[in-house]
Amino acid sequence: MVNIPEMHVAKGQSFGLVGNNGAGKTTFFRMILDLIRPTSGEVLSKGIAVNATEDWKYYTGSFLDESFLIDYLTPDEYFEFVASLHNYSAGDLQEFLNQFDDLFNDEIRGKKKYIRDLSKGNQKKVGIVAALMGNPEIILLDEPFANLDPTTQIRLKVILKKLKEEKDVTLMISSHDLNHVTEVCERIVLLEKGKVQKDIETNESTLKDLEDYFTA
Amino acid sequence: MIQELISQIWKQELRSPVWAKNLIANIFLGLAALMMLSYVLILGLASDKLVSEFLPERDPIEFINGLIFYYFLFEFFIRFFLQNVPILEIQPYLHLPIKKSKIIHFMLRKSQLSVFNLLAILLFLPFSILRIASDHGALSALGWIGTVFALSMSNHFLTMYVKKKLNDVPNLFIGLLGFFAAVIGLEYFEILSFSSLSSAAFGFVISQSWVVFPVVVLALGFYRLNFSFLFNNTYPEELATKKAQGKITGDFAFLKRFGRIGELIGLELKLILRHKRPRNTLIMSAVLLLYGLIFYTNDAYQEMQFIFVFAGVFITGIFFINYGQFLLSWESGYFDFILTRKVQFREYIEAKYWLFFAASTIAFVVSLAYGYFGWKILLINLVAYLFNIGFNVFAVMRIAMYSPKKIDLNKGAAFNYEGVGAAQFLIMIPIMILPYVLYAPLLLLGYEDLGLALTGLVGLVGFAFRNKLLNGLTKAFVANRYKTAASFRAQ
Repeated sequence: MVNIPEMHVAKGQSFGLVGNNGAGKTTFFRMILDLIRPTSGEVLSKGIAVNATEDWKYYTGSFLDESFLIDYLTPDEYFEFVASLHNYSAGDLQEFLNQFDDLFNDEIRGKKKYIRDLSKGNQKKVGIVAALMGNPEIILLDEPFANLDPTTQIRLKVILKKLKEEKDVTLMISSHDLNHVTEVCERIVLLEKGKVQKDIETNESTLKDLEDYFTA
Repeated sequence: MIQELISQIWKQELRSPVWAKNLIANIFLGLAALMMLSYVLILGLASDKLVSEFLPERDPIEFINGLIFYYFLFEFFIRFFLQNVPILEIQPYLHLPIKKSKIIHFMLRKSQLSVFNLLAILLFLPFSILRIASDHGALSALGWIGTVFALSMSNHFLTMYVKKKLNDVPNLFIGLLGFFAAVIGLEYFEILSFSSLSSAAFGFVISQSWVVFPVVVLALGFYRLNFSFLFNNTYPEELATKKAQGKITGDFAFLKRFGRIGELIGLELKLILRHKRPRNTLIMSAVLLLYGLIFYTNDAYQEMQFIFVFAGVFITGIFFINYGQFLLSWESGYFDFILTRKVQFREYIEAKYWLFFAASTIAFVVSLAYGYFGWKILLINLVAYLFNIGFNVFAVMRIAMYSPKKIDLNKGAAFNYEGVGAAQFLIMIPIMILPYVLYAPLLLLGYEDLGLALTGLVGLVGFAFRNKLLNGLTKAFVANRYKTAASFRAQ
């Protein structure tokens, strides 16, 4: 379904994937995360095939959908568990989570509620923040802006931009929101029926181009 | 309209992924249900004969009439715990331009197509024809069976109502058990005999057939009660069983000392304790520790002690047999997390091994109490335990990795066969046969002790080489991971 002869994403690049439903965005991301085996070809991360070793896990943070959450834990327990995988101390975790107090809006931490009982938007916040844990060098997010309220969308954009500037993180996001994705990403790839239709550097006219493409 | 609804119900059944994927399990279940029903029918056909045979001094009609009360008590009990009333199924229709009353009537009538409604008919119809009709005439028989059936229907709708109303009450099970104990106690100590009351009441029904009409009205009344309750409470929040809020169990901080493996075990324990179905496997494991009492106290088994090896394997291994057969399926909801996170697959498999090891060890320690029945039993249990931790665990884990199926943890436990596939049938092989491969021939040749020693030794060797075996399991896991992930992702 996804047919990409060759594509490189440079370190520190912010990469945006757009396309209609069924274009193959999620499938593409799943292949990068070694969740689906490509019929042919391979995905190299830092020059090593992702299905050959587990090394990429140590520098890749990701959140695609709810199957990345353990829904019978409370958000706090989930963060603690993921933090333990990254060998965070309790203090490290506190410090890390404190950065996101604005984003959480007092609805996530210290609440006696399982993740499965949270709203879709709050679940997404938990998943995204957990993906940022452990100073990843690559971050993959599938439609991070969907289901979030406007305030959170804006805050999330700020966080992503800051990560890119301060930590030189490679960011890969897919989105149906052309505004957000052109604002955050330097490079936009447009997929249709599994094929790359456009691969462009973002500039002032990009948003207009994309809108024209999807109107036609 | 109704036809359309019926065809949709039909499609729902046929197209449900559980049905398609678990065809074997469904056929098996269907056969089991059919067998149970035919047993009930045979019991019904033979009831008249049985009473005259075993209680020649009692009048069969009087005796059966006395039992009817207890039958309905029993029926209520099994209906309460096993009968599923899918009230939430009406949800997708609520916003469509269909009269609400129509949907609810449809749902209530559909609920009557239940196996439990056949029980009373199969059990009592033969008796009414064979005995009551011949003694008192067809009209009396008709009135009697009509009353029984109408009561069964009342029971059906009463249970449905009670279940909706009381499901949130804590300790309901214990309360009901207490109620039944009280009823039986009153009967036993001859304070209040429900059976003679029941006998008198149904004797009256035989002589006065018109009684069937008020009982039918009673059944309709219960139907109406459900209807008006549902009509006024069709909000999804009210229909769904409320979840207990604000209670978060278990921390298992002590496990953190064991590093990442400890963390993973802690996670799995939370999974077990926070969901009904895995929790039930844990409770079952505790109950089955008593299994030995059946074997060790029964004189018949003293003659064939070889069967004690089987008992030992079961007692010390029941947790990983029961829970481990769905090894990966329990975590199907967040399997992508496991594949993409910083968990080494090896650690993940190893954590599961140590969890099963710990469970078996605890069971073995508890089973030491069986030493009361002789040192031989201790020895056999030790051998079984060693064989379990060194061999059977790995066999069960490996078989469970063979095309696992998705399990939705948030569904109930009763009659839930999600996740059952060919692997679950295969799993009995290592448990039943492998412990006997060395032991049985040596036993027949008269070297029983040698057979036990060798079987235990196999377990010890397996345990000593556990790292090699775990590596093998990890390899199998890695090789199957795409297929497993895809089947867990499928809705």
